[in-house]
Amino acid sequence: MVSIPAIQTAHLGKRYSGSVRALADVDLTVPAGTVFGLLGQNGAGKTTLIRILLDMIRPTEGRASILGFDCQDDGVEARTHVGYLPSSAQYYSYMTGQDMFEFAARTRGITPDAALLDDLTQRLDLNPDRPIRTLSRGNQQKVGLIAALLAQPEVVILDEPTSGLDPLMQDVVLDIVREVAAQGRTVFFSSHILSEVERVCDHVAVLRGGLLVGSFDLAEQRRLAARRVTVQFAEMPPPSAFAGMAGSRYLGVEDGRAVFEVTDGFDTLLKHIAAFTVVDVEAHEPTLEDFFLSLYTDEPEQPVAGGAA
Amino acid sequence: MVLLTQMLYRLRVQVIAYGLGLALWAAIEVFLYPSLESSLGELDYPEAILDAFGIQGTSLADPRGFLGAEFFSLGPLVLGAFVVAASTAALAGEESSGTMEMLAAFPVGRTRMFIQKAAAVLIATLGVAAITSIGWAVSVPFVDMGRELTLLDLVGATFQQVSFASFVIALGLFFGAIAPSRGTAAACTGGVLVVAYLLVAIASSVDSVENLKYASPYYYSDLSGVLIDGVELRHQLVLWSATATLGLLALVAFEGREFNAERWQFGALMPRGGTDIEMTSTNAEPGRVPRRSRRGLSSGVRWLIFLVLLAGLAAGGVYAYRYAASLPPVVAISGRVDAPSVVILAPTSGVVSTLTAVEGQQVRQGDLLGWMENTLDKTQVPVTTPHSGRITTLSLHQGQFATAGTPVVVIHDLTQLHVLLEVDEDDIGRVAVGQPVALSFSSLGLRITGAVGSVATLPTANPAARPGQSRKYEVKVPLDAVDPRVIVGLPVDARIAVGVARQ
Repeated sequence: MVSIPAIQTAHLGKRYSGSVRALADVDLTVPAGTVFGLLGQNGAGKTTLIRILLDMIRPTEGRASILGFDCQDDGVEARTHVGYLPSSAQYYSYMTGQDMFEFAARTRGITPDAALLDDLTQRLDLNPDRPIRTLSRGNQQKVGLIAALLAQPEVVILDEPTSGLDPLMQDVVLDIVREVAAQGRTVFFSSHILSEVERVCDHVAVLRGGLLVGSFDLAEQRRLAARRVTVQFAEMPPPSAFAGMAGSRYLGVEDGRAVFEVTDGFDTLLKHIAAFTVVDVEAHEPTLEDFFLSLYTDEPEQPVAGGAA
Repeated sequence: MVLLTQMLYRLRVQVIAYGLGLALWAAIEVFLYPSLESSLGELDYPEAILDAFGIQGTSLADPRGFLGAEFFSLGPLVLGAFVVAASTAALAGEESSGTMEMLAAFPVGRTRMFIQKAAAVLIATLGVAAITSIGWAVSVPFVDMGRELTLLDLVGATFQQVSFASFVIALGLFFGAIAPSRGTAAACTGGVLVVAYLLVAIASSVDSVENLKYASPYYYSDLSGVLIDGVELRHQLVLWSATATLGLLALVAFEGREFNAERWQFGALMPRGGTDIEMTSTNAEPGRVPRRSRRGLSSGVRWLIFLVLLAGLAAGGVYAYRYAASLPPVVAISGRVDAPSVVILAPTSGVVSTLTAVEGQQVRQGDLLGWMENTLDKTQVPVTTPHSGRITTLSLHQGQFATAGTPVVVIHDLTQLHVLLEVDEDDIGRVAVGQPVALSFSSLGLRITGAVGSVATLPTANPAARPGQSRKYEVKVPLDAVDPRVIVGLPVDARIAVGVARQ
């Protein structure tokens, strides 16, 4: 069965006042049931893309759809399947968290699932009975996150979900994200934090100056990517000692350490090197940083604003 | 209904505050009235002020004139302030406060959001009117306001303000849908209101720009004169049409609006070509029919909306022209019975030596009324009548002295009795000779028909007329075979069928 992409864009572009390009020619396909990360510096077009998906602004070129529903022409239908956490959410100051959850549910004609609400508030350590205006920025973020998840939408769109949260809570949020995907639902989230994207995302797309400059299948990468293993020996063996290992290859010496590329042969490698006195072993996964930085070490099309918020 | 109830909940404090404030104001004015009544009668307000308040044909000593000036001229602007705040808060305010970012992500269409918000503001406005009415209810029963003014009149007039408020709601929503921010939208809406009010004030005090008032929505609200004249359905129709047109424009603009773009947005109101790029249709699923565009941002639909609006405006224009040219079919006006009269002047200076005439006497042309003796040469000079008729005024008395040329006798030709109507300049263009007239002498319980006999081509000279007061034209309706009780000066209510083609 050909499954409908959770989110798809075709030639999506957005210009403001005719000249300022916020987004250009973005072709993106987010497969259903995945966690999809949208990486980019501030001003790269992440929020513009997300706001087009929610029909808050209109594309000047191309189209976007959620579960096959056009985000503009069928916006209401598209949004019935979407839970959304804005990047800088504002709420009605008179409401408590509980009020907000009920209000959000009523716009969908449902009542909040009490069990799910209990679970989320406990894990995120949020008191839903406090007025939102008395909550810290981080706690307001939790209110928004719970409101986005409570209707159990098929597509969850999170704009910088961990901003303002302490590291412990960031972990909880990322756990929740993985759980949502494990239920076969889709999470699309934007971030400028490489480590969290790397941790939870199956796919990542990188936006830069409104252009989609690269996409990266992290799950595939994890499975297939070669790892670099460096070994420090008490006494460096001759290179001939590492010849003919199945699944791994000796690359040479770097900083006094032997460097191996391992594709499918950790066991062979370990048994080989066990014949010598090993002082230290380090294994490196090729990182998203490497990938991300490679996109930015090309001549930049336009100056990249420094300093991520 | 979620957004409607939520908006109402948010407005509750303002509704109660504005409502109670207006109620308190209303009650205070009513309680003040008796103590001011006597002094107000003598107070000579500058005419321009009375005009600006729309108080004509009555005085401040009349409770209707008093409350019209003290409450209903400015009260609508206070209500207007509430409505400006509420209608710009409804949509533009959500954007400016950042909550639209959360609201717009809900699966609620723009049209539904718009309608629920607009309805909430309208209901809130009715709430303010209802609370204001409490002010009348707790004061009017305890104060003698005369028979002309009942509690029901005041409550009715208070709710009548909502029709003007609806226009302001549409205006606020419209600016909210095109302006960069709520503040700008509120400033524009408030600005239009102030200009509308000033237009009427200026038009009523400066004669040469009198027609400016027709450009002001405030004029069609009839609010300042609501207690005395009520409201005119024609005016309300104009106001409602403007409200509906603005509301529709606001909806179209809101449909096309980009949230938090922080710029003026007229795009949705302009027809323009779309650059539609078809999505590669690899995502078709059996059982899920590809949907047709519901909002229709295609250029065809844009043109359609534009043409519908254009047609609406054109229809409105035609209607307004027809209204000005031929509608309504009846002009109602009060007048009095009159007859051609002749004033006989003293033919000489002297003493009345013989008086044969008596007041009320029927005389014929050439009849002798009496003799005067010239003071100088002592000759007897006859006083005769040049016309047939009835003597209605006789200021000659036996032995009395009169100077030559002073009026001494007035004779009315009762065979040529007619009803004299002073028709307002706004209506005179539609009155023509031959049009049927229904006449009602309420003091006699007599109702007869007649026809317009003559229409003056020049306005009546009225030295007492104030600048800004409309000019009057005399229209005469001859009375044939008349009831003997119909006498000169008798008041009459006339209704002229001006829809009938002129002859």
